[in-house]
Amino acid sequence: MTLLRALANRIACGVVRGAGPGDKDWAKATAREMEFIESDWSALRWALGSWRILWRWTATPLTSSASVPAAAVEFAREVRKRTVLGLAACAFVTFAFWRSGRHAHHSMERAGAYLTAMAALYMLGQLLARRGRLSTRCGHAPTVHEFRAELQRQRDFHRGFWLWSRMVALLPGYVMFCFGAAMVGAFAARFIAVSILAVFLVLSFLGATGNQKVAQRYQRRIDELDRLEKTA
Amino acid sequence: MALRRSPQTTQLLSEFLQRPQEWRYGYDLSRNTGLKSGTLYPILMRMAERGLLETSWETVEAGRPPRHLYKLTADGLRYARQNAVERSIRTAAEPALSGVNG
Repeated sequence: MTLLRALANRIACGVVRGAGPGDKDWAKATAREMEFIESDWSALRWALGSWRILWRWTATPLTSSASVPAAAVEFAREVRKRTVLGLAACAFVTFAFWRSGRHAHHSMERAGAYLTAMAALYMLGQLLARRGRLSTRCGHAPTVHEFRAELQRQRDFHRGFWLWSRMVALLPGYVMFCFGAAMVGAFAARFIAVSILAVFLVLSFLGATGNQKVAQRYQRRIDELDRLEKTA
Repeated sequence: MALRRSPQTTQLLSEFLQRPQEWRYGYDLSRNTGLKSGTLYPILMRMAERGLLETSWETVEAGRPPRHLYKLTADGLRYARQNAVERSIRTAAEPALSGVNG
């Protein structure tokens, strides 16, 4: 086996391992097809392309109403993890920008830092307000109705007003902070501040897109529940 | 939820329409349409999700790994045909419209 082919195989195996439970078959399918590609370069390109499967993450398909409680527990765990990580990140950002504001040399930088800290606090509040409500403790199995209601709550957190209000709250303060920091520094410091701002704007765009993708994923789950109820 | 009709999706649907009753392999579809795996599989996944595509694992003798197979469902076939009709109408209308504009 050539080095290229070995690399392609490694990538394909990685995709199979990393794919969501509902996408495993698709990842395996691309890996199997690769064995029928004669050219090593084409096999490598094929394997690299199969990475696209990892961009979406599909949970275990709901095949019957019996699979709902397990799926709901899996979902509750995902929301809990997001909430804990989000709270930690928001708390850190609040603390860091509040401190930066206290030591800022320029009024715009100070105002930007305080605004960003407040925006992070607002996001923290949002996370607390939309923390998971599905009870999975003491062997309680969530019903289809409870699961759907929670999916709808979390879907709305990742789109519409909830999403855009987070972006609107965060962006102006951070932009002010970067411009303020650029004003007091030398040319190199200005360049760094503007570069950081550019990276932040790109990350914000990716964050907004990512949130909408999560909302779409939850909507697909809701559709699955609807189909399941229709067929039952 | 409707399937987004990108040029690549349209291309794939027409490829399925060539032999609608046959099960097809992913690599063959890729070769015939020129779509890369990173484009082809997300489309196949969306089609399967919307009930337009049937998937199955090939049954083979022991020792050989099975391959994933794809075929349009009845809904998928209807959708592909409708798509083909709409495309041909659009193609026919384009020269006429450009004549009017020009």
